[in-house]
Amino acid sequence: MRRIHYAWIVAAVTFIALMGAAGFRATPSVLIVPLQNEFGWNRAVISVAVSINLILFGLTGPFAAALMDRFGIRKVTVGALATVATGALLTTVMNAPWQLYLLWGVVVGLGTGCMASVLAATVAGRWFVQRRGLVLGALTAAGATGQLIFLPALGWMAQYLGWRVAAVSVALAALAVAPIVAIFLRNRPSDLGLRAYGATEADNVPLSTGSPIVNAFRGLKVGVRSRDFWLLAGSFFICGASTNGLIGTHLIPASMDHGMAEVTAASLLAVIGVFDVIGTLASGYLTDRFDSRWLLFFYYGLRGLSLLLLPYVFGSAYFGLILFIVFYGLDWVATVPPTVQLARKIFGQQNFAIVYGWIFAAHQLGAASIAFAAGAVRTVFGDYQLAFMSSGLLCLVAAGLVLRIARTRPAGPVEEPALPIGVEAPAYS
Amino acid sequence: MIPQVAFAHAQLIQSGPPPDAIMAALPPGVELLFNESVSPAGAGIKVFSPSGRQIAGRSVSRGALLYAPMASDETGTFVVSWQVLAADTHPSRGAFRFSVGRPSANPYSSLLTGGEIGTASPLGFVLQALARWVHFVGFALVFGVVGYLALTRDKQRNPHLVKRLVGTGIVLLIAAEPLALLGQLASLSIDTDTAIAVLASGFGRLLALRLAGALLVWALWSVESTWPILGVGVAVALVDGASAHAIPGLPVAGLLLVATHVAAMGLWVGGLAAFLIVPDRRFGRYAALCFAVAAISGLLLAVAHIGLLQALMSTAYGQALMIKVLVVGAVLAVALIRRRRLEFGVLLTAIAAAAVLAALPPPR
Repeated sequence: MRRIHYAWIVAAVTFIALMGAAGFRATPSVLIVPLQNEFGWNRAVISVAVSINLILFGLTGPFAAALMDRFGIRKVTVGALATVATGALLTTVMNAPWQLYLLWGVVVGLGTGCMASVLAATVAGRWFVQRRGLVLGALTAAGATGQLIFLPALGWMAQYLGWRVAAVSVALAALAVAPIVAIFLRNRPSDLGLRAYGATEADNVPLSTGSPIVNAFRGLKVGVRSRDFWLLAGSFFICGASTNGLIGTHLIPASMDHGMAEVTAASLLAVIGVFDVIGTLASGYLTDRFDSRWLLFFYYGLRGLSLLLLPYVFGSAYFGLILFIVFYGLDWVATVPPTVQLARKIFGQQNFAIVYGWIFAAHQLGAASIAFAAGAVRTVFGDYQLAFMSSGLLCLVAAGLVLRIARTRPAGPVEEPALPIGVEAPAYS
Repeated sequence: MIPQVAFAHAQLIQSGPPPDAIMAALPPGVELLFNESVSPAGAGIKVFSPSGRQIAGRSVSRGALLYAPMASDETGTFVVSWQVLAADTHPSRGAFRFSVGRPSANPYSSLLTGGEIGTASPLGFVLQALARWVHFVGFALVFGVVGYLALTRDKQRNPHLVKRLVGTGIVLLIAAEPLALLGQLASLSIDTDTAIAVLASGFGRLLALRLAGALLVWALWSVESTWPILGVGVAVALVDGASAHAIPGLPVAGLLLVATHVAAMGLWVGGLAAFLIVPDRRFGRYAALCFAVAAISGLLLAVAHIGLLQALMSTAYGQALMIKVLVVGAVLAVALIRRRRLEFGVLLTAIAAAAVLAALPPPR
């Protein structure tokens, strides 16, 4: 009888951590209206906190990847969970906008940033050779699952028990996950004398040395010299703008503007989550089989069209709204597995995590800028249609960008640097 | 060619207070009744008090009625300026005055002569027509050329020039949209509020859909996939149908007719452009078919819009249509003597006439 490969246990624990992190991050969207009521802060103020959170969440990525190379996945993840718990607990006693910026923006942003897409890419990259796309899809879907579980619950708490109860629950959940991660998560297969799932050789990645900060910037240097990096980062910028930034932060307020109850609106986002799980798993499966560029083209194209149809949907028949949600949910983060795959093909197995961290940073930069812009549009002009329309068009630009990736040369690995980032050349002895 | 008289759609029928009225006290609001459903463009209604303060609140529309509350304790002459979008997204604006107590000077009285009630500005009209011309030419260069490539299945011969044609077409398709927005704004007022309102209206949605079509083509052209691009072309033609003048009573038929007309025109004109670079004997029949479809659908549209022979002579729309028919006749004559380059040049003129037609209101 064959025992289950430890890679699956690592994947499961990572799944739980990622699920929690996504739930924590989704919290501000249910807090917008309660905070507005309690403190009289307008939507633009709260949008600033959300934007800071999104930016730091994203910018942490490459540094988190470098930290994981240096200190290991386990330590970094446990530290991140503790940070999130601290930040969430302290929000309950805040009374000024700058405290919201500091706690939800900076502290929770940094904490969750270490448990983001980069963690999923690193775990899938280190522990799996076969089924890598599928595992990546599953780990990415963990985010959606987390929102699915946390959002309606948090929305309900915020409405009936007050937003502080919601914040405390987030802190408790983070503290509960920490010991599980500490016990079960392992850095790499060779720590247990194993090979990665489906690998024919043992991994022998040298430990990275030197400052993780310097290494993160070395990764950036590798990236910016490549045209494909800009195409990937550009399309991912748009991806972030059109999902987290626009729908994630503003769909609930926009629905409430159209007379929907808060819980109903929050479950709207949850329904997107259900289809997101399906879509992302399917995307992981497809990534193992088809050209990632065409997959991305279809994801962005369909997303762009559904955003352009959104203004027709609000205030019209329920059927249209449901159709939009199904459509949109299916490719919410389905873009992640093909993008990671392209990054790995272009930048090589050793370095892609840090470079992908920067690409992911572009994703969050897009999310933050649109979250802010849409909030401003709503505050100033009283209508979201412009924001929805322009991000729909941006998605179509992304569809054009991804088809142009690696067209000037074959799509295979291009230039594998002689040594991984952060590993010193062995001295002659 | 550019008429001086009113040609925008929504016209003010009645207002409360009425123009030039002299009243004892300021009413609580301004009420405007139009000849069709309207939505406010930008502020909608602005009311300037004798001291020059804007005293109107937020405008709301219900059907053909536009209302804005106002409050002021000044006496003298008030100037009301309004701008609206009709249901088919055509803009119109106007201004009038009324007085409380006795008439006085008003710093905004220049608005009263700025535009007659229910007129769009000539500049706006020219820009709108130009935008449509650029759009139609872009449409033809993209979809006509790609259609020609699909017909001749020949990407190898002289691909560079043909690619340039499609690239130019994509640029034109995209460039047409800011022009269209500018045209719309020039007929109202060029400010951010109005731009937001125009973009948030049905006009903005159609503009976004046309841009979406252009961007999709830009994406697909990077791998030169022919048939999907032609599919996008059908969608863009349908959007053009949706943004054209509706035939009263038969909206779907009108939409389909316009879409067919635009598509056939595009295949013909763009095909001709590609033919000039990469001649192929099969083009003659193909062009004749496209022309026949364009002519029949155009004829049906003309009958639906003009109806009476009288309107053909007496309205700007009828006159522009006659000019277009003459130009197309010229194209046909040139085509028969097989001077392809000349044919292409005259066709661009025919499209210009079509663009003017699309910007003019049909007689009703």
